[in-house]
Amino acid sequence: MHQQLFRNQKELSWRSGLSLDRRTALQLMLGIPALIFGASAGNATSGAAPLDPKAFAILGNFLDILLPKTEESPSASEINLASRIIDLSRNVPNYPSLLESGLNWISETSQLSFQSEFLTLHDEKKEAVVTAAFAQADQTLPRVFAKRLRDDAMAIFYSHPASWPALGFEGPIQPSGFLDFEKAPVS
Amino acid sequence: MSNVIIIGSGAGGGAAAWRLTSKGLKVQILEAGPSFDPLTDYKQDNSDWETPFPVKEGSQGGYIVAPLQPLTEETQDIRSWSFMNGKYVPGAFRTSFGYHHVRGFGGSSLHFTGEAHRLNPKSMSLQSDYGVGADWPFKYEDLEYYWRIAEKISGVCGPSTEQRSPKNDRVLGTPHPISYASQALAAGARKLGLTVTENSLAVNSTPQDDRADCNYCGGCLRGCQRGDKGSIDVTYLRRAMQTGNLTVTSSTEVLKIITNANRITGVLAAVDGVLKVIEADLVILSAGSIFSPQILLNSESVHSPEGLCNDSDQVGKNLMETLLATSTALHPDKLGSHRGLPVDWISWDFNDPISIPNVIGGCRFSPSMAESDVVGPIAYATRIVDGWGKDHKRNMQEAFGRILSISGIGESLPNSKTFVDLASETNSHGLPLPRINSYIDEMATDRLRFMMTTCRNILAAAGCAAPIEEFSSIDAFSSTHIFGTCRMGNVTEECVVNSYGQSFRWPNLYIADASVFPSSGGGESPGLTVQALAIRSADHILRNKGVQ
Repeated sequence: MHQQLFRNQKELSWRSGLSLDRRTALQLMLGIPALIFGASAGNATSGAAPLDPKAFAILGNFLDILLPKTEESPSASEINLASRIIDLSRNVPNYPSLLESGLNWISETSQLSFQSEFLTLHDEKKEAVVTAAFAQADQTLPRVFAKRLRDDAMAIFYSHPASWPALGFEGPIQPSGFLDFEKAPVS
Repeated sequence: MSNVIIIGSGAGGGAAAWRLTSKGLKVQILEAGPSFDPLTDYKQDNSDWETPFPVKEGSQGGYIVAPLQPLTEETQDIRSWSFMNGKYVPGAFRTSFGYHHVRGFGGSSLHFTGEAHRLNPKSMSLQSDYGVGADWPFKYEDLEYYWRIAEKISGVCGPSTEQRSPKNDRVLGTPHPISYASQALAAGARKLGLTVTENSLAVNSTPQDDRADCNYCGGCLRGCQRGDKGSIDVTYLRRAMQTGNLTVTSSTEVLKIITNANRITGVLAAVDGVLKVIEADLVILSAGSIFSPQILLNSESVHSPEGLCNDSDQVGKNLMETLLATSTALHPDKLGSHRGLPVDWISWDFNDPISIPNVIGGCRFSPSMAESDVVGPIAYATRIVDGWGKDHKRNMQEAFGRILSISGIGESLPNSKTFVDLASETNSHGLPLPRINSYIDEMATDRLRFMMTTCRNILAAAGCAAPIEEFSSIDAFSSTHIFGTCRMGNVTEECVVNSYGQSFRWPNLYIADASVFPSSGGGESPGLTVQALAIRSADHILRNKGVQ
């Protein structure tokens, strides 16, 4: 009944004096999962035209900070998540420019803070840059970029079967269903 | 020419079509939406199984929601929010999250959970007993025969005894077991003294009716791939098709019903976008509580200048919506809460109209992990587990399967500010769209507060931590079950159709959907009652035609 509610609502609060115009910010915060599912999973590597190779590499590094490799679970780059984000961005107005601007911010912040390219930083320093993006005020470019990318990355990553074993999830839900539904889950 | 044209193939249209065709009448269903193929349109066996119920061309009707009421400080305690996303309605006014429906072969039953409820007999005489709402024009016992037929055809499984029924002689399939996670919620409810019973569900617990049994994937709201859920397409419509007496024309939107001075003569429809007049001996309107009044009001003519059946200005009035309160929290233990049927138990303790203190109109409580869509990894990653990096992955592992969610659904009483009329905006044919006007009054607010408080108490009694997400109708119009707008009854000044769903003025026009409900019930799902009413209307038609 209210299933769609949670899929379509994102925070809509707004403050004046921001670096993104309101319409653009709202467009970028709405309707994420539907667009993700609308993107072509079968064309995961179908080109990265909107970004130059360096920006694409920064995007990949950024995503690996959000979703790093662990013992049980692959990294973002192992499932080509950056290419999926690029595919997705083609269908969302203003998304390519958000990506470009956000990645520029990552690059510039890295230079200002550590006098180094983001790509050459150790993971701890990369995490510091990513933390700084999330820590900016609502509706500022780095925060909208980080939150949008975070939600899209999570939705794409956790729709990939390689992410499921770490959760103990034996999906997809069909054709087997869950015939053990009356019992405690096997940990 | 078909004997009968039915507008819409959902619960009402499908059930009426089955009854009439099984008695030999020729029926044509005009369905505005497309057909859905469970194996290709539904995604449960794909990696993107968390995809919501598919939207296909024509599967959503157009409508407008009028500006909603301002929000007040007094209702802050029952607002919709989540710890990750803050208030879902941060503005100063109540907001529309939509009228959730499916246009297509089988209607909104395609995305329902399978709930198949009879009404509480005490909720059918609210005006006589408590001075609110309206009475049904007949008693529970008068509908019992038809509920029984509907339970058989749609394959309802559930308990044969039920605390609300005057007689406990229902013949249903074996009830479904309650899932491990729902048992934890049930334990919390029982600690509070609530009675918990298996829900009545049109879902096969064993193979029957040439359909498989359920394998408890929990994906009912995304469409049922196995066909074990008794949606209208695989039950009534399948049987009706087998008679050879039914034709279904999909992607056919009825725009107007046409009359002469005395009778309905046909409909004006857009068939794949091309306008056609389709003649009819009799029309059954089953487009639901939003689109049925739209069609009637758009059918104004020299014979009915205010719209069809609107001589008493009652078409569109008495809209009743879904009143919902939901609370969601993490349980300390791994429960595997993504498994099992979406709504496997129910508590009817507060379903009687005067069972909630100081409020008239009841409610029910039941698990809602699936209805709140907190079952899959994506939902956990975007709504339950905040952050990123290795900590996020570790927290995902710890949280997955621990979510519990419970909902209360309550009576919605009509008020003068809640109705459907025509908008200034138009569809592609230049005809006005329906406009939904909704207002939550003081008693509805009190009912919502009771439901939310009880939901929180059940979660706490089940051992959960503090809620992390809540949803309430107080700040969001978000409805699947919508009633009223073409009320049935015996008084022409207060109603649109008589007790058989037949127009007072146009004897060859019937309405068979939830728009005829005089009251909503105390949280019961309406599908089974819509089916029963439609079969009853069909029998009235058959009797008038002299068909046994």
